[in-house]
Amino acid sequence: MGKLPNSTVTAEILEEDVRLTRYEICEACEISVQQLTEFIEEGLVDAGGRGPDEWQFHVTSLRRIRFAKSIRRDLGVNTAGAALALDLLDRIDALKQKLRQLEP
Amino acid sequence: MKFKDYYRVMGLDRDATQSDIKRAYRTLARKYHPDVSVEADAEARFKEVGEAYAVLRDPEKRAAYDQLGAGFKSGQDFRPPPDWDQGFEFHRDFSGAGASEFSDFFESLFGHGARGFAGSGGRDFSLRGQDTHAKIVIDLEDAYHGRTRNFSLKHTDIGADGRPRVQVRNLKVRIPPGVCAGQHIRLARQGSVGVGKGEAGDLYLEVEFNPHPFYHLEGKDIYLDLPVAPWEAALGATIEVPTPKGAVKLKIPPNSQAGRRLRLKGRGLPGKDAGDMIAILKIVTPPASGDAGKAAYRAFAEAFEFSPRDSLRG
Repeated sequence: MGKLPNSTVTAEILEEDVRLTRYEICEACEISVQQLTEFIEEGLVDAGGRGPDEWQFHVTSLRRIRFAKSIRRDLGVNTAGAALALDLLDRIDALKQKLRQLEP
Repeated sequence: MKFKDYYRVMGLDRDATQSDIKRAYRTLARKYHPDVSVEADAEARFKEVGEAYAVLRDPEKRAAYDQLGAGFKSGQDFRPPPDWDQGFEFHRDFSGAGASEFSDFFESLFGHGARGFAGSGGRDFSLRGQDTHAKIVIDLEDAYHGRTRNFSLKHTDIGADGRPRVQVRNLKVRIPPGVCAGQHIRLARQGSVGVGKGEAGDLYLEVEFNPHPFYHLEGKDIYLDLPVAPWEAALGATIEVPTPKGAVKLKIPPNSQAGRRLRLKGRGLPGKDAGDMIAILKIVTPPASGDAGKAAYRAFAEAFEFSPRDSLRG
């Protein structure tokens, strides 16, 4: 594997309405299409309904997939468990936000 | 270097069984895993626990470690005596943790530079490497004004010699104004190098903010706890309030209570749908020090018919 040069790069903010293709997701998260398919089947990420060639992913899928990979590897959790963990963490975040708004 | 007491790290006795060790690891890994932990030093503790487990779970390494470390205490100065590992043969097994993440202590005993190390051709590595460049941590001011910052991305891969090596890449990243926490930024063609003449892929970084001493960010809105004196809240006042763009004058309406929210439109993170700043009033009272202070408070109390705990009665 070659070495990439040091450089200045301009970042592009991925806004809410940006959708990523399955190739972009697989590359960004370093997973295979098979693994991505498994994640979709378990409901961990949403592929937008249609067939594999037309899969579209919301930007939030990046974080969800990376998290699932990380806890699968480090904590021995299977995909279904990772999906549950993500849902619970989302719930915790929502509660934390509510708490902050209610604090005087 | 300092001796590391792996048993202490994992909260185990020296006669712990393999099943005790595995159980301890699972519990501690869940507690300190950076993605789920709420502990302050989660990442450091997670690495420490992972390293301890890597040694104690492997009967060969554990036996060598027990023999070597019998007389040592955690933190004591330590150097492995020559030939300490005579008769031991360690197999290279780095599954579960990036080789680059082990401490100097571990490396001196079990690292690929140590003697008595039998390689297995480097086929069975499962390296953790890419996660270190999934997130970048920036300050709120960077998100507000946009800024060019230097970042080092660490990447572990297999070198030409078959051993893991850490590659560090330095990038100057221009962060556009208006990015909010949890958003991703895309750096075109900074991802994995393409094969042959293929173009490099894109690199995606998740944005996380350093905690700010007084601003709190939620989405694009900036929250500020705004301390005011009781007379400012009661009588109203025009006060100076900091914003990332500079201080502004804010009018506190009379008869304001604690918790009142004052919205400064458009003073949150900039962008297509710019956020607001929301100042939440916090009433702070001066200490009743000295005779004048106490007298002032007594006069204050006597000036009102006030029952603050009415809401608690029946």
